[in-house]
Amino acid sequence: MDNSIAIAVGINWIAVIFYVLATLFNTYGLIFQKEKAEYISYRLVTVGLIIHGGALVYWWHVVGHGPYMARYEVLSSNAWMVLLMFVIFKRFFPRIAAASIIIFPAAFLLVALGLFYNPQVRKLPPSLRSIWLVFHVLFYKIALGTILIAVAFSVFYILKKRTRIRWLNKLPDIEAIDLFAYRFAGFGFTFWAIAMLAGSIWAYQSWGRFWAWDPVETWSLITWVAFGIYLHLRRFLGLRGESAAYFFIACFIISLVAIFFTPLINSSIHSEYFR
Amino acid sequence: MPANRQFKALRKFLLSKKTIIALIILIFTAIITGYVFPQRFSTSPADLWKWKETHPFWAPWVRRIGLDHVYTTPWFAILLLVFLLSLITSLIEQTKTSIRKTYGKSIPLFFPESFITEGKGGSFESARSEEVLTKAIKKEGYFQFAEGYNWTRFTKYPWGHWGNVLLHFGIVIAIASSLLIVLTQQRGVVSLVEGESFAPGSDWTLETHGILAKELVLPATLRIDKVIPEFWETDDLKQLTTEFSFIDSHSDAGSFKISINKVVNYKGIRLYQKDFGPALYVTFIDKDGTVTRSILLIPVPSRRDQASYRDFTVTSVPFKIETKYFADARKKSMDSLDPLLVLRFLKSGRVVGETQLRVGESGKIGHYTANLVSASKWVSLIFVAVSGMSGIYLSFFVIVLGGVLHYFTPPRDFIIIKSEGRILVSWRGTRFTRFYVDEYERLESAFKKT
Repeated sequence: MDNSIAIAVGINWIAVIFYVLATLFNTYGLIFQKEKAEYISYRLVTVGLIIHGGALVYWWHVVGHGPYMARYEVLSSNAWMVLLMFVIFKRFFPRIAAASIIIFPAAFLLVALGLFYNPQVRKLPPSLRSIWLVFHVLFYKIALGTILIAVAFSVFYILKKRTRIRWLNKLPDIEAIDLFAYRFAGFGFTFWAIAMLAGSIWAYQSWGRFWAWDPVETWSLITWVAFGIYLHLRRFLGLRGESAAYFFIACFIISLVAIFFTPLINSSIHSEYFR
Repeated sequence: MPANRQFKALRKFLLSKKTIIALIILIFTAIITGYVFPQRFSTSPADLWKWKETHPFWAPWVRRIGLDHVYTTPWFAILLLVFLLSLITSLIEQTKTSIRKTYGKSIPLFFPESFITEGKGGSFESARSEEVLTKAIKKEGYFQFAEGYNWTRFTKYPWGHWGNVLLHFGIVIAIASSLLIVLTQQRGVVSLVEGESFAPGSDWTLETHGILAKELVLPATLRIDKVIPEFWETDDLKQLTTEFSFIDSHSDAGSFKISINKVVNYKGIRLYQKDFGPALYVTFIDKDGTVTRSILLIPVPSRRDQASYRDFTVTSVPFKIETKYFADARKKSMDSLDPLLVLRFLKSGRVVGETQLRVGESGKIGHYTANLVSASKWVSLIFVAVSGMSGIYLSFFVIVLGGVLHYFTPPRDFIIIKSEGRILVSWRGTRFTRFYVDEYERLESAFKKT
């Protein structure tokens, strides 16, 4: 078993190296407007994704369950999903490419953070064997990916508005940046709702209650309502531009608390699976 | 006030921004209240009583407005109901808008050139005939949807107009179902030892019910026959199975077996397992020979080499009893028949005595003799009677569909206008148009008169 842990950790570190190299090339390419370096960074990330994906599949095989038990596997798979979402969305919206300057480092930091939590084999408790749990976890990871892209564009908006940094010219015009943040926030809101509902169906199947006001559930609801308020303020009360960007960054901070900190609260049922 | 005016006033109230903001603030306040005050469904009656004693200022308020069961109070149900009505009113408005956008004839036909730079749309004159344009635009995935005396409108992804409606409809279903569950649910939790029975009407360990429901009463007596935990080699729980029987006054009503994710539905009541652990039969004999029997329900340890702990008070034993439990005295197994119990008596925080016992052993503790007579298992069962879960399932699929339609398929209109022998074309996106400028430019370069 120790050998398996060493292999999984080793493959993860190789992926981290690729991500770090991708980040360096990407930052250099964007800031100094070197298209080739930028192109190389996307290739490096793709290779890293394949290796990282291999590590996740290998770990799945070793522990016999998906990446939703130990903190290491949760963080590592979050990073993988964030990058995958970015790669997929970049294909449909090529102009979001510059968000990589935030997405790439965020992803490798997540993997590295996961690796520092001493990967351990944790066997699956029976309550975690449900297809609804797979939906629950998967959609939160997808939501995190889209929210990160939205927050990247919110940050770009503020930077573009307040500074004269040259590489920001590579980004779409300022109105389009605002619109990208808006749209990806909408994706995040929808995926978050789906994840919450899948979780409540899973909870009903496992414990006979669909909602228990558990700290994680409560924070998740607060986050979703915050995203909902952001979207409605934009649509009906004319919130846009810089104020919208700051508002979304605040929502993002709430979502980080919901995803990464509330599961550590002992009274939460989720803490059983995230220690 | 005539009924029509009253209805309009109510509609205005429910759609008002002030109402919505006030509702959101009130619901947030309720959630925070539920967070701060211990709630009945998650706190034992003893702990709740202790809390009230240590917080005399809040105790009357807890009683008066139900701060210890916020989510099952009438005022929280009313808040949810008003929020739901507001959402339904908004949904009706959104439906009208979607019908207008899909089939309506009153949308503007021409858009200035500047629209495209502002991200809304644009217009140009086409060199193609109406027939050619119609054929070409249908190939692009546009469907014919509305027609005027000199114009025809084609829409790409017309179902995208309904994404927002479905998204909100899904949320309405979810909230309505939640409200139904909150109002009508019956839920009881009880911890029982192997061989122990629980008769209809007995006191629950934890109980909660909606304001439209009564306390849950079992249709027959339940008896726990066997609790079977299984563990992985890592000591994590692999499966927990409880065998039990329902016994009515005439005969055995049947034997059942539940395991996690495999619940039993008995006459509309669903049964789940919550916790389990060792049940230790202990006797305490004082110096006068008086025997006190007690069953100590201890939580299961997380690992074979780690202990679990629980404190007890036993009638007629004038000490606080602290226990420490190992699943296996030799620490080699999670399901051993040879557990180890450490008992400690305390008075005013001072240790009076301590002893270690294996099954069948006795030990001196203070002026008592403690005896671990036998060990079996206890299980905590949850009994639930709810209506409305199918709504939650339905809302899941409706929200998924709505989200996909709204965010992944924003509709685009292509309008062919015949004007004084010329063919004019207008194109517009309804959402995020700036992202589809390329599409407009492609259509413009293909059809524009040069």
